[in-house]
Amino acid sequence: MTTKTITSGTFSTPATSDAGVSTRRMTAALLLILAGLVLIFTVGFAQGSGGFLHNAAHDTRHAATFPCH
Amino acid sequence: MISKVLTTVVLTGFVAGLLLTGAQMLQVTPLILEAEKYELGQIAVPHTHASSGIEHDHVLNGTPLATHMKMEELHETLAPTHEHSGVAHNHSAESWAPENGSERIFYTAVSNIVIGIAFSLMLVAVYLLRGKHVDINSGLLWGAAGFVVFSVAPALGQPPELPGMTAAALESRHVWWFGTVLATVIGIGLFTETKTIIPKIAAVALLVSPHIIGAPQPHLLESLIPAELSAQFAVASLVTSAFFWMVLGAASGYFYQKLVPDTSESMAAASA
Repeated sequence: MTTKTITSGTFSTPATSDAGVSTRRMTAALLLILAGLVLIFTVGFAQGSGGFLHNAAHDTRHAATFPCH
Repeated sequence: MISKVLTTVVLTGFVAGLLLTGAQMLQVTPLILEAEKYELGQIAVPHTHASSGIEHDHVLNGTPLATHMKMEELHETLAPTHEHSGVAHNHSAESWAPENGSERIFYTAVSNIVIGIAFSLMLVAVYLLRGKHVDINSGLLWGAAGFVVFSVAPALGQPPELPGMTAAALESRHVWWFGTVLATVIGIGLFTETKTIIPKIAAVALLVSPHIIGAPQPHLLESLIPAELSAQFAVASLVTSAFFWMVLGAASGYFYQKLVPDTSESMAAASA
């Protein structure tokens, strides 16, 4: 990675890839994606008991190009 | 770090979800409400297919349309105050649905905030994976990418639908939607993050493959909804989605820059 000026005005040292931080970042990113998928499924796809989720999120589904009916 | 990342996600979701709710009020929601009048049979479009000699079954929300029609006829013979409670479809009173008006707007706002949080989880995950500096401007570009992935690509095969439009089976459309989003996201990622020609060709192949395969289509293209209304809705819905993604991108970039320590900075600190 090349040396880069940070907007705050401080200088970063040449960042040799630090496995610990990098792995932590990757784990966090994967967890976020997983959580995002669960929420997308809940709002966009799941019907819920008696169509509860479908009806509550109905207008969002139609607006956000999810297949609804 | 994770708490600051989550704060970024939640703030972005709230801002984008609430603004989306406001934007929907302009065209999207009025068009949905108008379409529901046709869906519920309060207004009927003239039916011309009977003379075509094509035999087919109408299915609305999993129930043959003939059943709906019979219920309509029944209703007409019943007391005028009788509502559509006996009609066995998703909008019936058998299953709970928010009342039109403030209750419906409230639930839509909640769903919008949740989907805003879901999409901003995706955006921030990309920021973390790339580990590069993000601000409001680059956030906007990521928002545009999100719009292409989650709205434009699926809409190419499955235009935003109004209640009452005919469509193929819901499950198959769900599968196509998800497959298209996945292929588009991998395609864009592969295209932007690689420098040689072979992965870029693979990326383009991935991007077009869902559209070559094609979205599931209904056997017969017929609709309870006038075509003008559907066309208006497709445009209104896509423009509103574009606005939503612009807000998502800009807000996530802004909050990420403010709250999450610059990754290259924190990496340098950690390695020092």
